[in-house]
Amino acid sequence: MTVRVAKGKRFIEADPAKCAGCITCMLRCSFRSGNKFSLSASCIKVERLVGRPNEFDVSFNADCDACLICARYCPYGALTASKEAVEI
Amino acid sequence: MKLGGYAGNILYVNLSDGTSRKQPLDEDLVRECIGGAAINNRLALDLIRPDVDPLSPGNAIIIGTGPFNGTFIPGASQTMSVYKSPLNGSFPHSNAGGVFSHFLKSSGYDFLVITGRSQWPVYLIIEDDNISLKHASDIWGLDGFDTADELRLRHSPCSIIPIGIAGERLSAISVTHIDKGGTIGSGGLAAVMGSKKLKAIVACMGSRSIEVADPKRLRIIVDGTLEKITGYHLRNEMMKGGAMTMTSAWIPPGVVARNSTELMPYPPDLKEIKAELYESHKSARKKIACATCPLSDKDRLDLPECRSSYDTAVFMEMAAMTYSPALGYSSGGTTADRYRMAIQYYDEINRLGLDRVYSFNGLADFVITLYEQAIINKSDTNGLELDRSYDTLLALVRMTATREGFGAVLCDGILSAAHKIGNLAVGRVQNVVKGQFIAFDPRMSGFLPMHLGMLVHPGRTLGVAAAMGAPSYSPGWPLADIKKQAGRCGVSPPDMERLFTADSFNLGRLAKHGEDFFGLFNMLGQCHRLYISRFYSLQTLADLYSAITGIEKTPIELKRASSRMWDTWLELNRQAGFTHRDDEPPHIWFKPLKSPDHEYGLYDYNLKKELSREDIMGYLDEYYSERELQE
Repeated sequence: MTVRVAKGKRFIEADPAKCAGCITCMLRCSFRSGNKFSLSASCIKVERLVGRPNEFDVSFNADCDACLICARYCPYGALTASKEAVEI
Repeated sequence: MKLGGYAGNILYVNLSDGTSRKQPLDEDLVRECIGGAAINNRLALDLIRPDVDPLSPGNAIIIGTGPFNGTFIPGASQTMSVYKSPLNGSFPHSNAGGVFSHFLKSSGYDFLVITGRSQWPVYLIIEDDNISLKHASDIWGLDGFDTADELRLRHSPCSIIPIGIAGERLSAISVTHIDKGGTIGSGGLAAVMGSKKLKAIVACMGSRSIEVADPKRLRIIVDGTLEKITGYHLRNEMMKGGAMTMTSAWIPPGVVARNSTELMPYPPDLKEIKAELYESHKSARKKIACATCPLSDKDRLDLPECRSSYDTAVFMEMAAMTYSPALGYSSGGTTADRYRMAIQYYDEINRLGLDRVYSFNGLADFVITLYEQAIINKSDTNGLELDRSYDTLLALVRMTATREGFGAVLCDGILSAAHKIGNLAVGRVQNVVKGQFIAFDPRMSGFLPMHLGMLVHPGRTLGVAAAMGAPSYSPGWPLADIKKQAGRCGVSPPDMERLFTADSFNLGRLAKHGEDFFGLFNMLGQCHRLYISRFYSLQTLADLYSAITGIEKTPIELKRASSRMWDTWLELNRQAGFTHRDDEPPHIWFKPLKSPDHEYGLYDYNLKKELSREDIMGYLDEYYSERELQE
């Protein structure tokens, strides 16, 4: 489990075990910030793994402000709003 | 080009001299053809000589995307391809999911054209303006999945189209998989890549963005579509079972075998076995989704003491094949054992890169039948006894992919195998149309729009899935539901009057309208699988297209553009030598398919009227007439 600690009291909890790799979160993130689609400009990254229990890894970069748009549109429940920050 | 939805460029790569060039995508071409399969066709018309040897440097691999790719439209995942096929010399269309189309566009390219032939094995890397060919000698010989894994370790984040052993050894029935999921390239795309010494295409994550003409309008339409999808009553179950959840409604009565003369029935307790199989599948499955798909129909399958496997569609009927007496019969073991055997078979054939559904299963049955009929014997098969066992099936897979031993006879499909064996075998080829084995015999289901598509279009084509969508491969829909489907496909009220009677419909004419609707999915980059395409009407596609590109097109204008795409495709294949005269239905369709307790003839969609050859030719005449009429 990965938890992103962000501004104020907003947090996003990511559960890579639930991620199916649809990259909707990346597209939503870039669209929210620029009204255009850019995989590289997204603050959230979904990366496919090789030979691991989870098929995908999920991470956030420093520009993420935990706006929760990714969590709102994740079809698989891999991203959720969290009530508290837990660094792992 | 300033249009929204497009990256704006075509990338040309010449493997012979290692050069590449970027050419702006012509705006007039885009306005006329939309994208994807339609622009692929235009490029093929311009770039591939119709008489070119498919395995020569003169053949081109054309890979295209549409204006929906790169956006968050649910199901905007498809990558479309066209090339000259080594299986039958046609120009087959093929499309698949994964994330390749999104990654290609992130580097600024809507289309990729690969020509020439490298002197040594290479793989192609695309990352913004950095286009490079890397030596692939160290990965030449790896199977398709291991190749994808190795290249992902080197170049992640990326999307990969690799080839397996069958492609390297130039098998005309080879295919490959995008990102270990979507199957692409029926008719030998992998062999064309192999002939060019191209082991893989790697699209890295680029830095370019896709603009949208009307972001607010796009958001509103997509949010409305998502609301329908998330409220779909089967979605929760599909999250657990993937494609298998959606393919259990209609079960064929058995497996067509013995050279399409017999129907070998499933065991009497099939329903119970299927239920057990489904539970095994859900337990083994980790869901994988193509780009922007909220329904995750792809599977990673983890079974004890087995390597992880991947598949695009572990359909129940196909899993059942491993305990059918037609292929791979196993009388012992539990259902869980049989499921594991099926998955291991799929894994082997997927990794090696053979077309399981549309070529290999029919080929294996054909040669086993020849053996049973003593037309071939052990001296022909390099000592292998051909029975209907699982071990024989696996041995044939490996031989075919590697061309070793008897595989040298099998590697290019049924027609080629028959000619290599001799006249007795050639005379027994009987369920093949334009060089392609007919995987779904119409005597089992009634004559469906997809069967018409199989007659008209060479190879495993758009027509298989596209001619009218779900009613095309799900027989026996009530007329009211077919009418509703026709309305969604944009059949106008006057055409509706013309195409439907009180208790029937004109299959040939309606198939044309279904093709035009579903062809649009392949032009826009949208998945046309039943479970996602059901949420889109022609009007919705037109609204989305306008919101993204800023080009206002009416639904009718979009449909006409698709009709032109089909016309161009017919023209491409006409130039390659396929005409109306080749649309002949196989003679075997008009002979009974015998099971132990029943004989299946060729009937119409509603299973009411037995069909003659003249009836089928009538459907074909109606189809062509409707195409010309609409133009």
